[in-house]
Amino acid sequence: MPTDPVCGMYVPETTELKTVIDGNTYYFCSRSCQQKFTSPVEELKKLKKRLIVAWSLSLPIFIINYFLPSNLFHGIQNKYLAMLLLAIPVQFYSGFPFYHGAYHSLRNKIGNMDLLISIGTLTAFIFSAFVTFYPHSIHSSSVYFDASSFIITMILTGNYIENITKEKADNSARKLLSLIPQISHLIDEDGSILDVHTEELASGNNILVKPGELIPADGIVYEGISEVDESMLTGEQTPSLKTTGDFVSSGTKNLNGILKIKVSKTGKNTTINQIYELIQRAISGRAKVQRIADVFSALFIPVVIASALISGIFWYLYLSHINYPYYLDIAVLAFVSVIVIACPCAIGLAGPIALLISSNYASENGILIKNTSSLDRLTKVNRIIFDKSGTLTEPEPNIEKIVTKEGFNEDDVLKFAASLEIFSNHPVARSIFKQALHRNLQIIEAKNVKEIPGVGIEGEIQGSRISVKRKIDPSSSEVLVILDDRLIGEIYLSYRIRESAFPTITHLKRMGIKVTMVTGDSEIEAKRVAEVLGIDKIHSRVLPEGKSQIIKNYQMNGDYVAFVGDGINDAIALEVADVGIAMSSGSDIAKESGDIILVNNDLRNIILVRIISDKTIDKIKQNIGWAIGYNAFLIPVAGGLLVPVFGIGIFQILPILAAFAMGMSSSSVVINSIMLRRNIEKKWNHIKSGLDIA
Amino acid sequence: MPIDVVCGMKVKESTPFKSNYNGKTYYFCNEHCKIEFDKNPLKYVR
Repeated sequence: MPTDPVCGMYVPETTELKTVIDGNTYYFCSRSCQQKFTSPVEELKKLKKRLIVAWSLSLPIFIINYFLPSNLFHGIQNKYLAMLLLAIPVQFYSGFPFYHGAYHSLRNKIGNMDLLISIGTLTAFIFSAFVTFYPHSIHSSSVYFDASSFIITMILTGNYIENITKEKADNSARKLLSLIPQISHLIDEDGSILDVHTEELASGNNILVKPGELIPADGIVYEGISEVDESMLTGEQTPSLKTTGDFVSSGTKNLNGILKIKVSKTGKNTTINQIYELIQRAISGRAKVQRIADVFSALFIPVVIASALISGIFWYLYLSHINYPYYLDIAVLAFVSVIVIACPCAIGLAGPIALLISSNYASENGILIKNTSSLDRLTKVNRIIFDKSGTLTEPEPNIEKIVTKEGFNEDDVLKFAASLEIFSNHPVARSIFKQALHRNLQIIEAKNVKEIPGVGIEGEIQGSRISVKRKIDPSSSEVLVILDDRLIGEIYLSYRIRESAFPTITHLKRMGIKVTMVTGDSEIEAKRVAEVLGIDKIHSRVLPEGKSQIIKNYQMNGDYVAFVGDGINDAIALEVADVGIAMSSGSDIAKESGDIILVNNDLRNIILVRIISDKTIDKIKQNIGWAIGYNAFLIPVAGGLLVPVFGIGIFQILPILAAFAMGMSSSSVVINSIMLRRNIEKKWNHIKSGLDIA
Repeated sequence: MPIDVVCGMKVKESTPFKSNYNGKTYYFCNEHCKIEFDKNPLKYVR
């Protein structure tokens, strides 16, 4: 059964309240939830209008009821009539969304908050209207227009505060979409530049991005070199160098060079849109801990209506038995108070807001939570298994040294090699080409270039025959550069251990988490890396399918296992593990496996995401506890539990107090959830200083 | 009403998507959840 993306309640798919956006269908429990989702700004404006009407009429009703004598109105009946006239707009204009929601709730046979509010306020209103028009039919009764109006006013006020606070929590995700520029520079077939609206771009188009501009679509650079600020995606402040063959994402900022890009994805399929959708999806994700809230919600509405009836009937019977004159009034007020104080929304909101906030915070720091239910499991993880290649070590090799032969210097060797390697996508080739760019070496035009898989690449440069031979080894590689059959230099490369690996592993061990490494490489290479990082448990020469068996074995022994690996090649291991953490390949987030993706490939974010999961699950538990406690404590109070202490007169103000409590209860869940961000930040800042990379 | 242990949603017992593990029947809201579960039930049952 789907959940309402606004309040998190279960909704049957048969409901008429649904909206299709970008091919996804969203189901809603009430009309107000639907409107909040589809047009939040407009909805907030409408809510504000209803709220202004409610306050400006409820206050006069209150003053008339308690402070103005009846003779001012020439009789009590006229006074009641004046209040009735003021109460009508509050009841039926300001309170309209509640009836709408209640109507749909009845049609779907699933109770919601709107139904409770409608029953509560209409009971008080109709009773009071009856007393106004037939004053003598009920013995010594009064009117309660103040209660019916204030309930609506208070609850609308609560909704308003909740909406504004939620809007704030949601803002940072929406900021992502504002990073797509509206205008793009399209390069025509004849090379001329044409400014078009970004939504007109299609895959395969060529575009130009000037320095200082935001990149409008995902694509591959085919000409130019520039530094690009990717902090909005990765949280990483240092810009990254982009040149021919590199992937660039929409929403990132081109800093200082002109880039020509072949568009690969536009609109909804771009990285930035996918990240936005993942964050939005967090709100309808369900952590296991929320199940207790679900059980509670299912029973909630019938239990509340029954409690309200029981308390109304009890006071009716008891007070009429002792000949208390206002027995019918008190029975009605007790019924209304119980109905109004009950707040299913606080329970529904307990999870979604916390999940939205943590997803937002994670994405700002370069972590994408694809599967929110993994957060529960992450809090239990006591073993982390790292894949070696591309995870603990860098995915591209680094040039360690260049040995040259007589007559050539390092730059000559690198320049010849790079002029050929520019045509290859081999990691070694990319590394050599990037090093040449880094040294500002001029790339020379090469002809008749031919790449021989497993051997290297060859071609003609300035009339000479150049060949680049690659000798690849898991830990280090050697590249020979040969000019007309003469060796002119050797380039030595190695897969360096990621700088973030050592502090991360050291801290994980300190946290009591067992660390293990798996690799398809030899035991010698595995030991080399494990010794540097202080990993005592290693599995070497493991085939890809063997990785998932190793994970299962640990799970059978009672461990909760997180696997950290490559999002494309380690898909099975990532799925089998209790939590799959994938290093991002950078180009297609949607296709990558794993519950969590480290967009900036910083292993220290494993510690951050563990903090996020611990704090989020704690917060959800706290919210659920608070919401259940609120209802469990206040429903009996509304039913008259405190009458022995404060006397029966307490019912005069109970409905209004009930409405106030109810209005504030959802807001307080939202506000409590917003504190989550600060809790995570505080803990992370405390730990981060100890994780600095030397 | 049983709960789909993969996605956390409520499902009817009449759903065609179910699996047995350790003598207990687990119900799923769609095929995707069932496939996920079958890959490694232990991940979802403890």
